[in-house]
Amino acid sequence: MAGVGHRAWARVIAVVAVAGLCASGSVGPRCLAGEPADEDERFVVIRAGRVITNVGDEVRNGVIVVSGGTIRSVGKGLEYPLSATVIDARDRVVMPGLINPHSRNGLPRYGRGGVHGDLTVAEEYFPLADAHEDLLKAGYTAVALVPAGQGIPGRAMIVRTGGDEDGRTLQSPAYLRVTADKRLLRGALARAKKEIEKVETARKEFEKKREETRKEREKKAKEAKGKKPEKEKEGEKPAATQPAKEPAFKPPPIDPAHKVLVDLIQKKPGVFALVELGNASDYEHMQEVLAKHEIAHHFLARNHRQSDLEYVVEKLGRDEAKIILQPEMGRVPYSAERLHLVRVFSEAGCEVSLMPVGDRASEYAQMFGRLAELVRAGWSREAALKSVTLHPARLLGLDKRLGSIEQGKDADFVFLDGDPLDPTVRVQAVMIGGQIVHEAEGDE
Amino acid sequence: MTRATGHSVWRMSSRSALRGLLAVMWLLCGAVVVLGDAETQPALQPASRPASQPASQPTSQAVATTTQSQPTTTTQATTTQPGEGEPAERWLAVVNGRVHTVTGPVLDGATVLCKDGVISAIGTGVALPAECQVVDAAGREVYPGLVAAAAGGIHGGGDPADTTNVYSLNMLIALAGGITTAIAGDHVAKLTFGTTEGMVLRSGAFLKLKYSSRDPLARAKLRADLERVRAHVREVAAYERQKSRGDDVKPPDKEWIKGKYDRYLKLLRRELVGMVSAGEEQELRDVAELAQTFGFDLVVRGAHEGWRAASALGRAGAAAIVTPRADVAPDERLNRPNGSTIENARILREHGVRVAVIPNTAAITVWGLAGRDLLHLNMEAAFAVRGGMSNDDALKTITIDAARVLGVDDRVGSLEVGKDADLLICDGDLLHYMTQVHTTIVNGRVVYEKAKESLFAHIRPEGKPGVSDFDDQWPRQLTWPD
Repeated sequence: MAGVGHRAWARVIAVVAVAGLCASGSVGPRCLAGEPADEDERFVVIRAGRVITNVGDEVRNGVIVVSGGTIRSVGKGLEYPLSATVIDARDRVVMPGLINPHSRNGLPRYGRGGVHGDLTVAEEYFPLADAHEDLLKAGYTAVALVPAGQGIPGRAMIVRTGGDEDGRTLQSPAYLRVTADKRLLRGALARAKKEIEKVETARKEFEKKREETRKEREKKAKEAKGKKPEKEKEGEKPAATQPAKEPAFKPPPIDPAHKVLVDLIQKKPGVFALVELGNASDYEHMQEVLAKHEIAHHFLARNHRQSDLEYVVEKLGRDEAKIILQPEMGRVPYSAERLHLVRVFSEAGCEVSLMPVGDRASEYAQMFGRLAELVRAGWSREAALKSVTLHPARLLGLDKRLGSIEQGKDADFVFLDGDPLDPTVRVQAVMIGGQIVHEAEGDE
Repeated sequence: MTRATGHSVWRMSSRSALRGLLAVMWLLCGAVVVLGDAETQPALQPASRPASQPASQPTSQAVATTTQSQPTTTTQATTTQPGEGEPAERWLAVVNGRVHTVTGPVLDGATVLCKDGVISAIGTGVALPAECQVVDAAGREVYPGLVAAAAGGIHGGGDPADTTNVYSLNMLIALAGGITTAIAGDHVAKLTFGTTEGMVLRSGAFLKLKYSSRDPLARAKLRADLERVRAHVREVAAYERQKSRGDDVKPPDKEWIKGKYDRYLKLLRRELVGMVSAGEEQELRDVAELAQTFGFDLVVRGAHEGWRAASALGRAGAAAIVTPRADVAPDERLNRPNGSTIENARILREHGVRVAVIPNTAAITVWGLAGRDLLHLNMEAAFAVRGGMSNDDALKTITIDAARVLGVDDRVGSLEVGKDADLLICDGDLLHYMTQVHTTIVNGRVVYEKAKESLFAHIRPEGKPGVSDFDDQWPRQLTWPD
């Protein structure tokens, strides 16, 4: 069987290699068709007992073919070259790596207030080898690191939790973190509007001046034409007939702290605010400001047990909002009645992403258990699994690379020794970019 | 009707006069409406109309009659026409209730129709538009929302529209107690549960003054400052007079009018209302004298010995925020009657003082279980009745008169066409101890329903349709209802 597979695969390789060559021209030596042996070595093949792809059904006894850190194909009974590295995970469940959409893991604590749109986490981030080991152990492959503080403390960055230290950064700067301070946000946006007006005024003035200069020059040119014979006599070339190169418009500098808010008002693609809500009232207040300026935004709400977020479920659901919640049961506001707030949000139409209850190792490790609890209390299994993978990927705008096991996406997987919602489940290994970056210790 | 929030108080008084006139007209018109409807529409309109009814506009003659007969509504109708692109009109009707208008008659089985948070028609036989939220109040009493002339912990500090927790338990409890408008620091704000829209009624209305005999220095300073500002006002008047005669005169120096002097100037121009905390007779007399001397609007808060200084306060045109159940024991050493009395509110009112009633603790607290906090504002007014006030007047102390004290009577405090749709639906007379609020409506939105909230849903779930069931209990005794 293997022999047949090799022959069949060789054809595929040839096609892939030629296609690669056509697409990229003569970029790197690795793409050259003349090195088929190296080409084969770059393939990693995972034979998995079960693959939770997050798109369509789970694949039993599936094969995932990975090369260059990217998923080439997923399916059942796929063939692969003999020389490929085969990872035998036939007793494992493979699912996409978990994504933590909001964390300060590995970063120091400090407070900061005010508007700091120019600051990013990248300034305080250093990719140490084991910086995110706690997350890695729990099955997280990507994490959005957020700036600390209150108000508008700066912009997040999204990194991988392990693997190649140079290739850790997935996106930087990422979303703008905004806490529930209505007056501060309103003031910051008003300031940003002023900055926009400042640039517009300068542009108008510039254009007006340019127009005036042009007219003057044309006038001079006409006059010069009339005087041409005289000048020719003098043997001089009239300067006015040679149009000087027009200077380009140089916009006045925008206050760097408010630059990102200007981008938000001008709806620059990919820029959005993550607004953190403490309670239902915060939603009303923040929404008032966000709606006024039509700011691209998603929400994060800390749904602790006394939370009154149920009041705004309908409104958020109607907007099909993307929201980050914590995997906890809640209560009907001001009563002792228990309420599955996560499920209520999810069923109202929100796309729910979950973040750990606390930013610490024990909570990361408990994530699968908490998901199981939420599913046991009536939430759908599919939504629960997506809430830590595909939904945070979509929220972060990285769903082209992360969140599911599909062709073309990054090879970031978690290898589990059972169903993810099984209470005894353990993370056995984690792969990032096609490399095993973590393996559980012990007898298992 | 003027919808401005920062109006001055002298306009208020003239408006009150106008309102009196309107009220008379209203009474006449109400009769006209009822009679006219009786001719054209003998029975009450059904709550729901057939789906074939085309427009969302009320097409009935009854509404037309109402609008035509009331000068206030004609302007209202023109001002609330929504422009293009605006959301559809929001209609709400409370039907079949016994409607206590407070400034007008009590209408049995009447409908209160509200459009976009404003009352657009009151009367029997009011036709409802096709898309209208209907609240049935059959067998129930309908009142205007209550106004708390002193309150804490309901709204946030600063601008309440920015700081209030609009889903707070305190706000919910206050709504359950029937309060729809409350003073919030320097603002007057509504209890718009779940939204900040239409929350603030009035901003920067009051100037807190200290005029206590325990601090004679501060007293002298305030008096001196007021005299200085009054002199300036007179100088300005003289200057204007001379200038109009064509004299060559220098304008008076205005540079120093800033900070507190600016506030005092506004006080003397009656753009701000002076609010003074004072309780004892002499203090009340002194502050009344101050207000009369300098001619500013005065509200005294506390005033437990108001009954001793009622005539002085009345002469000064003052308003009082009082607690009928205030408990200040008389000082036996003083050779005059003193201390608090349950008759305080009644006596003040009899002397022409505008009276607003507040409970002992003007907040939502756990002590409220004893009935002495904002959760039982209606009970406090009932204690004014115990002190000799009439039922109708006591109702006014927590509705229209409280709204007048806060300067928001053009918007709230009574059920009138053109006023804000803030209503309560109760299961009995508001001043009866057993009465509970079943539905609270603020700005035409249902914000509290007893049956749906976990607070009081379990207490007499059906509610009593009226208090008449209890009349034949004799000897009167408190029993646990089954």
